[in-house]
Amino acid sequence: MLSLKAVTKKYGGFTAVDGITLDIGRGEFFGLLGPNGAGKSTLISLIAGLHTPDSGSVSVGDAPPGAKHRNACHRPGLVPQSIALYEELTAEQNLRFFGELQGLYGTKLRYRVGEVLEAVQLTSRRNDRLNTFSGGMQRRLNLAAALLHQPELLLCDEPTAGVDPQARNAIFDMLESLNRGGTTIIYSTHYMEEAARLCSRIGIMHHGRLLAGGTVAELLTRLPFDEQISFPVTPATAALAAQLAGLGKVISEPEQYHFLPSAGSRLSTFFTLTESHGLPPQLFTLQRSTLEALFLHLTGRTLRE
Amino acid sequence: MNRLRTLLTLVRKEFALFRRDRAALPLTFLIPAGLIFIFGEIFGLRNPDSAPGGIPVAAVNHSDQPAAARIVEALAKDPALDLGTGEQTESADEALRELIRQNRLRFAVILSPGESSGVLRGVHLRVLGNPRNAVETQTFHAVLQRAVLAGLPELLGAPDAGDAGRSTFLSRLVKVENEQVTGSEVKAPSAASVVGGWAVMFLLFSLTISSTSIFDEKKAGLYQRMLSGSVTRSQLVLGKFCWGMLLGIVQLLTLFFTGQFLFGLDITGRLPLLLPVCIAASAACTAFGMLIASVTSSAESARSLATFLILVMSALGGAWFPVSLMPEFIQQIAKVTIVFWTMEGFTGVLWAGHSAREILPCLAVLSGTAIAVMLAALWRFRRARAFE
Repeated sequence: MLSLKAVTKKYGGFTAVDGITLDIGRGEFFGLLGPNGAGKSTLISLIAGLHTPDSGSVSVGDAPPGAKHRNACHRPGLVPQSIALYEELTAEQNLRFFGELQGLYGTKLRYRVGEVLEAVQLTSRRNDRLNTFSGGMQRRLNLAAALLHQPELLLCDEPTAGVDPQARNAIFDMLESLNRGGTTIIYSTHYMEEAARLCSRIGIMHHGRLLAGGTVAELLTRLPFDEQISFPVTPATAALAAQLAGLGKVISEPEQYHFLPSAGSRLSTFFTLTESHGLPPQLFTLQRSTLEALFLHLTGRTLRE
Repeated sequence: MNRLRTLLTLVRKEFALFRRDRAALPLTFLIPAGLIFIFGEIFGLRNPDSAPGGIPVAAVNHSDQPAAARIVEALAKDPALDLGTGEQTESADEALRELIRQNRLRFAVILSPGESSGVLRGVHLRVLGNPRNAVETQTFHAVLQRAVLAGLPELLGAPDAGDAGRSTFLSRLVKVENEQVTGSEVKAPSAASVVGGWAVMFLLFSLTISSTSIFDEKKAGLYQRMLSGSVTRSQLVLGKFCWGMLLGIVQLLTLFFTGQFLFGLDITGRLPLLLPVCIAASAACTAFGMLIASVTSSAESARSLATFLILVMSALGGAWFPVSLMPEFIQQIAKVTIVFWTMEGFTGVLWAGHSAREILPCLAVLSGTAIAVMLAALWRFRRARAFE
């Protein structure tokens, strides 16, 4: 469905995407996970054909992205990070406009507008202007506008930014339903929970590079530990952190230490050490291996940074 | 004390916001200062010796009277006029009329022998004119009156010369015959330039504001969505251009028909020729707006730059007052403005009654400008990756 070969994109001296190679099959729900500035949006715009790579190649289906001659359904549907709709127009006017730009007219356009409004549960608000919608409703319509031409490939660039959990779940349900119907989805996010819930495969991006890729289970096998222990940075814990270096990996953040025990080390040794420093057990949080922990392990940073 | 501190904090916040506002700083200080400088240059304030280039006038003296020669001499000395002289023949009259129709002359003064009077041999004065602008016409007649008094100083010392008496005496000595070569059938002489002037200025404003919507659409990610579909960048630019032209044509026609309704301008009768001028002017003004959008980085900076350029072009191009009243070098600069050629087109059609062939140069300049400026804007958009 989608093939990227050693794709690089630079802006002046800044490398936004750095030699990414990736294949995504038809019907996959692929997540691009990484913090802000990792290069996810640039990669999505390269796939959408908005930019051309400085080196490497991108092909969607059999053609380069952005080929305007394609049938509508072969062109990717793009859900931009911002609400890319006209505030002054009604929901229906917005959808009719973007539908016509995708080559839909007359009865077919009317039918598709009705269908996507129904899918995002905004039929009753079709004649209301966008600036009267809540943030969640705007996000749903933002998604609907990308579905008008029934794309085989849907590119979602952080489509839930700034929405409440209820609206987020509604968008997740919609995307899952689309994916079950055969739509290939590429979903960029910096929320680990979103990627873990939705995506069949995930690529972890950092500084324009794809650090790791695979299913959640495959990715977690890359962690050399099953759990991590986090505790706050204080003068008392600093001495402990120094001693723990012998038992595993200690990652220091401004407010937190993360201790990743090495494969052979025992937790009992850890707790003996904490007791010897007089530190109460409430200071320590034990976490199972997660994508967050993997990201921390791969980059030394958290996804929120 | 705390209240004062709060007040200071609020003022400091206003200053910080003002400093960060790309439009506020130039609009508050730079643009007014720039306009003061430019208007000062227009009116020769920095160099009092730099007189206006003058209203283009021809004087043809057929009289052997010394008074007639003195009148011509006085006209030539007046800085408000740009005087050329010539021999009068029967064909010269028609040649002068043609020059006036072509807008190369605004007035022609023809002095011929008048009938003898008891006191002085009189002078017969004929004035051929194109009073297309009220300010210019009044200036010319004031200068002519001054020249006549300089040529015939005897008038000032005339006996029993109350104002009414002097006027009667003058008319006996100097017979002035006016012939309006162009615009004689125009119902509202001043309205043509007033309506045209304001129309073209607001055309530029509205089309520039329309073009700067590019920044808002880009910021909202709308171009990303459009370009990921079947739309090309060229179509986006062309779409903006076509809308600008349509908006401009409708705006101009609306303003001209308002002029017809309010001042009796004949728009309906001149529509077949006015419409091409409106189309060409709208194209040039839209291209100007697109160029502004292409060379700036935000809607605010585009609007600041546009405000400055539009005010300067309107002043220089003759939208506010006649170009002929400005110094010579300013008149040359005026010719590179869209406003000048648009005003030439409007007055040509509405005032001088020009034919299709006669307005062709205006149409060619405006259309050429539109194409050249639009190509420059396209190049800039491409270079600045404006739609990415």
